[in-house]
Amino acid sequence: MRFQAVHKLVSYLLAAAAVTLVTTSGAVPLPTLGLIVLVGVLSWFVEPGTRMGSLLDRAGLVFNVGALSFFALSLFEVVRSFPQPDLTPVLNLVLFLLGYKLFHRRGNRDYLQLYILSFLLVLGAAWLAQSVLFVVGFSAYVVLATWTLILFHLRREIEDNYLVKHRRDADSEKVTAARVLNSRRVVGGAFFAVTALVAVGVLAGSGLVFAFVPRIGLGFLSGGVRHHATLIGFSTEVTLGHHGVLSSDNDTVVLRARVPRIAALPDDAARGRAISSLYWRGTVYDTYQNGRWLTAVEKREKTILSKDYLHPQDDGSTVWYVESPQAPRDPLPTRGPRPRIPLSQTDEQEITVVGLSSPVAFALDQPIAFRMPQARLSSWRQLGLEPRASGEVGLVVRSARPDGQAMGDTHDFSGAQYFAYSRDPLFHPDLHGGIPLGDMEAGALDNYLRVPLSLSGRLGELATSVAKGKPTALGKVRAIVDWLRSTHGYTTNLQRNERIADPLEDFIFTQTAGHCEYFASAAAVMLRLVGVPTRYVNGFLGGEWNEFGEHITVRDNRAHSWVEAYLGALGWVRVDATPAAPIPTRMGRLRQIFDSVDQFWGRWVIDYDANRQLELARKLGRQMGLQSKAAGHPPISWPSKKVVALLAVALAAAVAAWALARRRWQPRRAAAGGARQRGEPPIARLYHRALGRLAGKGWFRATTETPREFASRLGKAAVPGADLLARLTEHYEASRYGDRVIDAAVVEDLGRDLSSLGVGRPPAAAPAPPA
Amino acid sequence: MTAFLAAEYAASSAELIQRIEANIAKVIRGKPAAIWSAVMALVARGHLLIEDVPGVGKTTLARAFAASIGGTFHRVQFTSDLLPSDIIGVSVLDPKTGHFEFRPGAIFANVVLADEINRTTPRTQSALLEAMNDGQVSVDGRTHKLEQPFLVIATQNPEEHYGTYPLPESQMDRFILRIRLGYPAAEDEKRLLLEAPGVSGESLSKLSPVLLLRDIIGLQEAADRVRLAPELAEYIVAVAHETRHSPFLSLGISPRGELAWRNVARAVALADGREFVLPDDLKAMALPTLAHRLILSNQLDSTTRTREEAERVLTEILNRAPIPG
Repeated sequence: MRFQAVHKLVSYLLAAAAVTLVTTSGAVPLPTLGLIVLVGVLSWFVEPGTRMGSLLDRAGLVFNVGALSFFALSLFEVVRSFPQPDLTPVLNLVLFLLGYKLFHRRGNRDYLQLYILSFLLVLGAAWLAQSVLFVVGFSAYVVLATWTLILFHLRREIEDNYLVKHRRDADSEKVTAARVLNSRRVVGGAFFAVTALVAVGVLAGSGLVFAFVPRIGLGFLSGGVRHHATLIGFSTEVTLGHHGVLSSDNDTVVLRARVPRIAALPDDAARGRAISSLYWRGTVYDTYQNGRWLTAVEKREKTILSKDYLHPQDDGSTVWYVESPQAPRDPLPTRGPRPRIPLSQTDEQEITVVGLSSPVAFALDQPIAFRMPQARLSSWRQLGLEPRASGEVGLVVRSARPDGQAMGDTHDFSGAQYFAYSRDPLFHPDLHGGIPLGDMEAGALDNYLRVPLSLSGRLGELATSVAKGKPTALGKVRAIVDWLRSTHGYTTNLQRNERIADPLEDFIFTQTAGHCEYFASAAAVMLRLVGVPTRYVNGFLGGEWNEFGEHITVRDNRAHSWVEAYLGALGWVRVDATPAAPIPTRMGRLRQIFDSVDQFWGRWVIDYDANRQLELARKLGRQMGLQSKAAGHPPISWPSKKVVALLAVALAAAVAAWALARRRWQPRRAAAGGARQRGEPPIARLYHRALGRLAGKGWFRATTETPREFASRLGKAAVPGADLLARLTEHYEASRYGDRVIDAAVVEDLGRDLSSLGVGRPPAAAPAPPA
Repeated sequence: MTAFLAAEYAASSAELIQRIEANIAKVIRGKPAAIWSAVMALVARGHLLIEDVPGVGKTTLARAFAASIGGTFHRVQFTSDLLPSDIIGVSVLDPKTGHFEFRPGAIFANVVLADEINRTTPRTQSALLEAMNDGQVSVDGRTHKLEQPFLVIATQNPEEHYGTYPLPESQMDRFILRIRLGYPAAEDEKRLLLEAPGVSGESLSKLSPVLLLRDIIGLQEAADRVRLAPELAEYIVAVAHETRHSPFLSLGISPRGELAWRNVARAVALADGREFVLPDDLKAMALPTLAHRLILSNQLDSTTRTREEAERVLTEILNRAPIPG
């Protein structure tokens, strides 16, 4: 292809890549995108110099006024949106200018502005991007940018700086570059291949810089609240009574968790079974009113979080034990705190919040403790826990300063990470977990027994009849769950009888099927009616195993509701009244890969900061055997003997290779006079200075060229100062080969004129030195 | 080694050399390069091999040479029945004295033209070549020194195949230079044709010596004292080394070849009025000094092709060898 055409094409591709990158961030609405594409396509056919082009040039004033007013408007919009500036107007302005410039490709300056605009777009995209797709687009952008900038530079050199001297006494003039620009030989496949390779190298290099150069997180500047495209919210209330199909196809990832117990299972079948019974406990509600679940408990029902001061963690994280206010207190305070379950006997989970807007710390049922990471090095914020009612534990962003005040009301905890330690209450019944109802203070659990007055009496009758003959709380729970499961089926396609006011009663008496919210609500309310304290829990059930990342991915379509019933000495026990609905526990393979990449991207790119860097360094260190034995002092660790030996061998190999290469090249260098003695005579120094000057002007002496040949080549090319070089060469030869001492005055004389050497452009293309 | 040459002496040597060249150029038109090569061979104490077709002026060149330096000249037309004794001489019984008397052969002259050397038998060839190399001949147990200066100009016709005994490359090694005369330029040929008949011959006979034989020996000694920088010796070794390791060559440059190259370069430097050798001197003389010493690994039977091929390989090696300085 012709040089000019290639340059135009790659410039357009660069602009297109930038626009595409911004589009992946979702910040460009479809009409805007359509418009910019249209402008791009139209502008392709408007060449500068043609009739259409000159027409547009004349309309330049209109364009400029338009651009200025657009600029003013964008500025106004941005200022108006303070203190939380919206960048969309700026983005639109850049897109507008990009379209404008595409029509005005008159000279190199316009192309340069085009590249700057496209780079601004990429910056914007980098700011907004969350998706792993960004990195794909960005790689393409880097390759295209390399091509474009090289071609651009080449073109500028040709057009602006390529001078030819037509007459001896005339000044040099610019050449007409049309012939070069229309040449098909300048840019070929080799150019694209080599420069693409260079771009890949640049990309790899910047990746290394990204990974290893110490950094401060973006949070340092922005306060760290990231905009996230899709967030799954758990509101402060749950409303029943919607009818229609429950959306179960929302596959937004809510959280990812590494559970060592699951990962250690021998095969996928066992893992599938284990994962399907994982209950991720989240928000808890205590009050049912008119088809809605709310939280209304008083302060004293708040979960107790007690910090573990006895066992400081190596990495500076903090362990908080979750204790229920209903747990029995030690009668003798002097004996210290109640013995806790060792964390080693619990299920550890490393949870990463992906797309959850609730300030709730999700964990497997039932969390015993949480371990919160140390404040990030660069950040003044710290992720913390907040005790909430009904065993719910909230997430909060605190100041990293010692006073640790909670900051603002952040709803986006995307990227937050913590460890949870849980024991499934059904498999590990903790007989000392609770106090028998009778022993409790009067009214202590009243909140969990309250039933709205609006419910009709027949619900109470039903509950009583179902639980008839079951004296224990556990018996009542079983009876009611069994009854619900035998009389109702599971569906996501809800029917609603509008004549019955309360959706719960509608479900129990007239409908035959419902989903988890109905089963949970029905069980909770019916248990309350027969005297068992209950609370309503929202969370997720199960998850999908990702064998690449060895983690469990929980998506929004696994949202689940269940009930916790207070069973006296057993404490709060999970009751899931919903009949089992089969949900796959494994993702498709491709989906697994994408999920892993996305996890990697979020962890190692979006949230990559100094802490992650340390983590990476530790990981690398561990793999190289650098891990210290004394885990208590991680910062100082001596490399193991193996590593020292390895390093020594590598060093020795490098030195040997260097020495070999030196020996290989030494004779040549000596022959080429490269190894210059320190005591080289002044004339030789002068000659080499002259060579350096000429090399700077593009005139190199080939290693196979004799000094005389070089001087004569320059003389033939009429390089300014060639006669000086000829004289210099003569003296240099006498000194170098004839061992003659050159008069200092001569050297000084020659040195004085040295500055004139090679000054001014050579009149013709520098002829290549003889091969 | 003797002291290096003084710069002033180099300049006067150059003048002498130019004088010889100018004198020969009076009778041979349009061949300054060939004349120059012949003078170089003489100054470098070597012998010249001219590979060319008949009738381009080889004999004239040799004659003019001899006349210019005031030395004796012999011409030997090599044929297949030529005997070694014809060249080096023979001892014959003098009936008067009853003693064997040595009758010197054709080689006893300052300038010997060995015409069509590849027409004679290897035995005769080697007799000549040994004499060339040693500067003396031995007959019947007596050694006869050849007169100095001594220059053999041998010619061979490369295009002929029948009845020739091509010189083996090991013998070629004994010639310091191999050149081609080539046809004169059209302009010179025209002038040659328009000249009055016999002018060349006459002028050849009119040619008078421009310097003494002693001066030639002086020049030869001066050339020996031209300085060769150690780096250039390294350069010579590097190039020779390359030829010995080149995959295209089965025989590279021998130490004798290296010496010849050095000597020629010294002669060239002297002719340029310099008392030191430049890399340019070496480069300029590399092909005529070295090419005929090489044997290609895929030796083709045609001599012409072989020569071109060898020159090409050598040129490539020279183009890769870094120049010191």
